[in-house]
Amino acid sequence: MGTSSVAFLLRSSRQKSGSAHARGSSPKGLLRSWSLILLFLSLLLSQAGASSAQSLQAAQRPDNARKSFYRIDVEDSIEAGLVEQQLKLKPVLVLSRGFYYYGDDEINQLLRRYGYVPVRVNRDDVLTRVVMVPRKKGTEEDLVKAGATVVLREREYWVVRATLTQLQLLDRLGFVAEELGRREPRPRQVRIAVPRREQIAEVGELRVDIYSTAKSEKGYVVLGGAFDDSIDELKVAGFEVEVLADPPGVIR
Amino acid sequence: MPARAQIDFTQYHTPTSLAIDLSNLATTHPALSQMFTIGASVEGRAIQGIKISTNPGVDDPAKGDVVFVGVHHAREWLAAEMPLRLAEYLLTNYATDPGLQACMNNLQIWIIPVLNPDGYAYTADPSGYRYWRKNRRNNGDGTFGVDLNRNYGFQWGLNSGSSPYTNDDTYRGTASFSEPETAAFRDFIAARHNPRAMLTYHTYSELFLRPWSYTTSDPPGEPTLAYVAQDSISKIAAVHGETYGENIWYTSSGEATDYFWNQYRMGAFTPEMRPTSGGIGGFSPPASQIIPNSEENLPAALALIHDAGCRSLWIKDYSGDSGAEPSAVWVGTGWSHAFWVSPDISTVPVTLVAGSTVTLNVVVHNDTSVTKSGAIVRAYYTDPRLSLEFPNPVAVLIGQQTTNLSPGDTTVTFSWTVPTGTNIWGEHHWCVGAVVLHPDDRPLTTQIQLSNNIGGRNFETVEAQAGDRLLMVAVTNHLDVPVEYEALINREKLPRGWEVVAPRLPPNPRPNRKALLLGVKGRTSEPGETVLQPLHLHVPATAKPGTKTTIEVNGVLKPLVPGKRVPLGNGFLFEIRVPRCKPCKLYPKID
Repeated sequence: MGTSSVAFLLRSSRQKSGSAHARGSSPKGLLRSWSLILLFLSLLLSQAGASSAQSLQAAQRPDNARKSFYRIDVEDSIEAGLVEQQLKLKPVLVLSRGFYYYGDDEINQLLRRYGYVPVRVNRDDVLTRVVMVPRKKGTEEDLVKAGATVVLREREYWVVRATLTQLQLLDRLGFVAEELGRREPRPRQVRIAVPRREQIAEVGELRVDIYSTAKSEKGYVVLGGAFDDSIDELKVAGFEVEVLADPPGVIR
Repeated sequence: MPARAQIDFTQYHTPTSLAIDLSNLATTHPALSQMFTIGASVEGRAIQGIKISTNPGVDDPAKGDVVFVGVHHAREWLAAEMPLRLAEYLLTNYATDPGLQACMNNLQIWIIPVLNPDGYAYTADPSGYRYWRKNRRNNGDGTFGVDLNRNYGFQWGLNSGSSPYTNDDTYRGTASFSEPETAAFRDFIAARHNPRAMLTYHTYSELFLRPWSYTTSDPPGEPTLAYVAQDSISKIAAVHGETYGENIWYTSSGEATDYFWNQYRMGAFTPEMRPTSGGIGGFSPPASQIIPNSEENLPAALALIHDAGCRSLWIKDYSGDSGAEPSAVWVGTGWSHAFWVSPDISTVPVTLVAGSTVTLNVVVHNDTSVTKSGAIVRAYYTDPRLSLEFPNPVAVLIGQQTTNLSPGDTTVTFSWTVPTGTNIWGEHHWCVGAVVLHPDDRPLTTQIQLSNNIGGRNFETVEAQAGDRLLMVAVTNHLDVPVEYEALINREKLPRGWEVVAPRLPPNPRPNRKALLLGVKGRTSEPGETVLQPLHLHVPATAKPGTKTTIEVNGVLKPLVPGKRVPLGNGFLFEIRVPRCKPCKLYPKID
């Protein structure tokens, strides 16, 4: 799965009205479709130029195009740092015990000398994107079934996080994923009641950006910012979550 | 009386006005300050700071380095104002404040008001977002930003208070130090000769935090860190009555103070400044808060400078001691006599016997030209398995004396009955330390408190007749990371014909991949692991009965971490005696 598939799946919001039916069978439609692909490809490449080799956007870099995507297991971030420092191998992603990188036979041979076992993995199963999905077709349940995570639930659209493979599936299900562009996702403001002090740490582990904590009559109150996936997990864990008004400057 | 502020702190600075004011400070005080740049942000903005020193153009290895940094998190504007105000205070008061001079003359003070210039600019941009927290990394997946204070390389990647998801405000990045801002700051500190303390300003909640952040457990050196934090809190409260807390009740991994404390044992603290509450609005308090916030945080900053640099009164220690606790404890095994290599805390007699009463000598040094009267010197002993800092909750007071300290060295003596029991590990191993308190000696704070320690185990000397004999040293790794270790022997005091060799230990049976990556050939030690180091001693046939000598063994421990690997370690002394008896009853020999 190369760059073109990514471009194929994502449409900028500015062009979405045309793209929804552009994949028709007419030659004109095909031409428009290919134009869109090229346009998205160029957009993605220009975006890649602004980011470092470590960013996920490295997937679109020409120098990596000829390399495959691999994973080695490392003990911790210190070992990952040593691999980077000593072997001059920049990770695309360090996640859990996985050190993901673009490599070739030469790099892998070097790694094997140190006892690593490079495993080729499908980049599209690992790297994720955060995209906007208009609520025109399908349900949130369908999104979740496809493996996507709903990051924000807005009136007219969802913001979802999904791997490239999951995005392909969504595409086949008829969902139209769009680039967020300048509409960066903003967390919701939340007030979370926790009965015991130790539970404040649990709130943090569920990815709440904690602003402050205070004692209350029933225990403690945590004020913070969180996305809907985090709020969902908080509720499942039994926390009482109140969503507060957005601060100035947030447009949903 | 402190000089008045020249910079306008009645309004928040913009990124531009802050850069101008910082630059103007350097221009106005060229003999004391110089601008510097540690690197560039992800969008290419310079990360600038001001160096304050009596010789700002020279990176002086003889001076300690103290670093103040602000705005890891973009929206925390007070965290840019405070370091700027500190820079102004130091530069405008240096000429008239002898106390400040006494401290600053020993230090290089590096102040970086904004570590995250891209995020800071984004919060100030009307088309940006005032409450943005992260840097402005294009994550390439439709989102922006990495939380810089979750991107440092110690315990990075845990889910405690950091997120693997790019959209989250606590997103930790693709890898530790993936961000140019944190990498530049790491490299900047690594390049310092003598990093002593670091303070990273944040808002809000009114807390004064210390390591660890990634866990609720106490770090090594907790008593020292707690002392500084509590001292700072009391100084903050004394100004406007704001009572800062000590605990944040949640964990966060990949955080700056954890990294620098672990890497360099430099005192690292996070003041979470005003206000105490306010939801997201707490990050944008009214500009009227800038001045009182700076007023109350200044004494804490000055106390840190004092602790790090104003050594007009201290207890001397073995060379190379940074004042932190030993990173490893070297203890003799079996029959060895042991004593910390410490010329300034010592006992008479040197050889300690459980239950015996000895004289404890503590050498206190006063490097001012005037006598310091009324100094209180307290001596303690403690179980080193519990703490190596003084005072600490388990330390036992040996004695206290009030004395006048003339310029130079003063020896204060105590009578000490060596404990007959054992420490929690069943060893006859104790650390002795002393604390000096002097109410007038701390112009910027109120009292001085420094410590040192010595330790001993088993309290017997080694008796060795002519021939070969084996001595053993146990080296325990008390760090949180694996280390490469090497034993160095000082043979200077060995009589002619005597030999001692520390054979290089074979590599670990299970190769440590970190050691492989670093090309380490010798022995490594995992956290908590004890390695036995044999020493082969040869006593010549000509050795006369009654001959005494000492063998000094120094352990060098180099953590297996990326970046600058700061050697840590400690020393250990054997006293060897050729017995007068014939034949002698010797301790069992280990083959």
